[in-house]
Amino acid sequence: MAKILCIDDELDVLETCTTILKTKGHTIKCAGSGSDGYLKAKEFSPDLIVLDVMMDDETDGFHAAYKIRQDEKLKHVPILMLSSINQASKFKFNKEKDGQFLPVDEFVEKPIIPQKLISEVDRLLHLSKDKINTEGVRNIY
Amino acid sequence: MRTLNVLLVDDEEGIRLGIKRVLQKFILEIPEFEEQISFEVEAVDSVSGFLSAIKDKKFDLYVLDYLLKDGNGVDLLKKINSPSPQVTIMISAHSTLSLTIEATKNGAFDFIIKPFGPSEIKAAVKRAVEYFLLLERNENFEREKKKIRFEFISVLAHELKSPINAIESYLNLMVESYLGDKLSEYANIISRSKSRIQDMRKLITDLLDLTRIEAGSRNRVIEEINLKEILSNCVESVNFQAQKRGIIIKSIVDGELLMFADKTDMEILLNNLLTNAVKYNVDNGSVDISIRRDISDSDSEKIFIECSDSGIGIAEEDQKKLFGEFSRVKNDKTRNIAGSGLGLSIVKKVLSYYDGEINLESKVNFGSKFSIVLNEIKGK
Ligand SMILES: Nc1ncnc2c1ncn2[C@@H]1O[C@H](COP(=O)(O)OP(=O)(O)O)[C@@H](O)[C@H]1O
Ligand SMILES: [Mg+2]
Repeated sequence: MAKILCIDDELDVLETCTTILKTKGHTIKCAGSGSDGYLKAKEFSPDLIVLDVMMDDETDGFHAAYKIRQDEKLKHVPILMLSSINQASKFKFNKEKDGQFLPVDEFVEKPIIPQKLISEVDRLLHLSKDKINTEGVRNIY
Repeated sequence: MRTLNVLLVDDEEGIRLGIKRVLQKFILEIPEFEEQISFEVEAVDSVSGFLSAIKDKKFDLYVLDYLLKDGNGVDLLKKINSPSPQVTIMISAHSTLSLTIEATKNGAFDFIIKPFGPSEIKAAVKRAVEYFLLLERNENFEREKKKIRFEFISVLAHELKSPINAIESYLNLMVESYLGDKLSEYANIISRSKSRIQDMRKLITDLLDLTRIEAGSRNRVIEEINLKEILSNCVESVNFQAQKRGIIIKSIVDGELLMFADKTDMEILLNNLLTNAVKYNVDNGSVDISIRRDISDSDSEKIFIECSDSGIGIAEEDQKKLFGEFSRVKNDKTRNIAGSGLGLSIVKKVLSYYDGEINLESKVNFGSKFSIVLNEIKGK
C-alpha cells in the first residue's frame, strides 16, 4: 500500500493508471500538468511518482523531474516515466545509459500494459534510498 | 558591415592585382537587403591554385578567367558544387556566343570582357552580390518552410499517437478485466474511447481541409454562390448536436446574399464557427450567426460574418493562441469535448485568400463572439 502521484496532461492516461494501481490498494492522486504535479507532490509526499514525458512546452515532464530532484524533501521519491517515444523513432530509452542524464528511475512505454506498470511500480517501491537516480544533467535536449 | 569572400583566378598578374585593389577598397551598399558589403579577395593564377584554395575555404563569389595555363574556367565552374549559395563571374578576352552559352550552362552568372576598368568590375560585382543575397534569402526561406513542415508533422504524429495509446491502454484494462466482469463497470472507459476516436476522426477531416487549402487556388472554384443557402445547410448539419443539448441556433441573413467565392471555403468557415459555438456552449444555450454585406456602400465587396454564443468563453491569455495549429484550451470544461485544435487555424488560412480577418471577443462563463470580415473575389 503506497501513496502514488500520477502526473499527465492527458485525462485518459491518469484514468488508466488510477484504475490499474487502485486494484493493488494504492492511494492515488492525479495532477494535470508538471507545475501542478510539483505542488501536489509537496503536499501529498508520495512514495512514488508516475510522470508523463508530456509534449506541452512549459510544463513538460522532464522539467518536473528536475524540480522534484532538486527538492530536499522529494529528492528520494522514485520516478517512473511514461513515454511513447519509441513508437515515433526507433529510439528507446535505456535506463543504464539515459538514466544518468534523466533523473528518473524507470521508463514504461505507452500504451500501458497493466502487468508491466504494476511490476515496475512494485520494484521501484522497494528500491532503497541511495539507489534512486538523483543525478542527471540539465541540458539533455 | 558584412564581408564576402572572393576567389579570383587569373594567370595575368596585372589583372589579379587590379581586381584585388578595386574590390578591397570597394564598399557596396545594397539598400533592398539593408546590407553593406566589403570584400576579402584571394587571388590565384592556376587551376591547381584554385583547387587548393577551395579545399579549405568557402567562397561566396568567384571571378574566373576563361583561359588558364593548366586548364580553363568552365572546367573550374563544374568543380564548384557547394550546396550553399555562390555566384560566378567569368572573365574572357573575347566574347563568343558558344563560350557564353557553355559557361552559363555550367552556372556562370555574368561576364566581363577584357579589357575592362574598375567601373565594369564594380558593376558586375554589384549585380553578382545582389543575386547572391537573393539566393541566400531564398535558401533561408526554404529552410524555414522545411522546419515548419517538420514541426507540423511531429506534432501531428503526437496527436495521432495519443488517442491510439489511450484507447489501447483502456483495451488492455478490459482484456484483463481490471474492473470486474460486469460490462457496465466499463461504461466510462468505453465512452472515453469513443470520444478519443471522435477526436481522431475530426483530426482526419481537418487535415483533409488543410491539404485542400494548402493546395492553393488550383482547386478553388470561384463562382456566384448563395451564402444564405450555404449557411442554412451548415446550421442543419450541426442542429442535431445542438438540439440534443437544448441549444438554439438563430441565423440572420439579409436577402439572398450572393457573393463570388469558393463554396467549400465558405462551408469550412461557417462549419468551424458553428461547431465551435455549439461544442463549447452550455446546455440550453444559444448561438446567433449573422451574415451581412457592408451597407455603407452598395458596390462594396466586404462581407461580415458574426457568430456569438452563450458558451464557456475563452480566457484572455488563451485568446491569441487559439488560431495556431493544434492549439486547444485545456481545462475541466473542455476535457471531454472532442477536437483537433486545427479548426481556427484552417479558418485563418481560408481567410487569407479573401484578404479577410477574424476577431474574437470573449468572456469566461459568458460566451464568445467571432467576427469575420472578408472580401468577395471580384473580376468574374
Ligand atoms: N466558441 C467558442 N467558445 C469557447 N472556446 C472556443 C470556441 N471556439 C474555439 N474555442 C477554443 O479554441 C480551441 C481551438 O478551436 P479549433 O481550432 O476550432 O479546434 P477544436 O475545436 O478542434 O479544438 C478549442 O479547443 C476551444 O478551446
Ligand atoms: Mg473547432
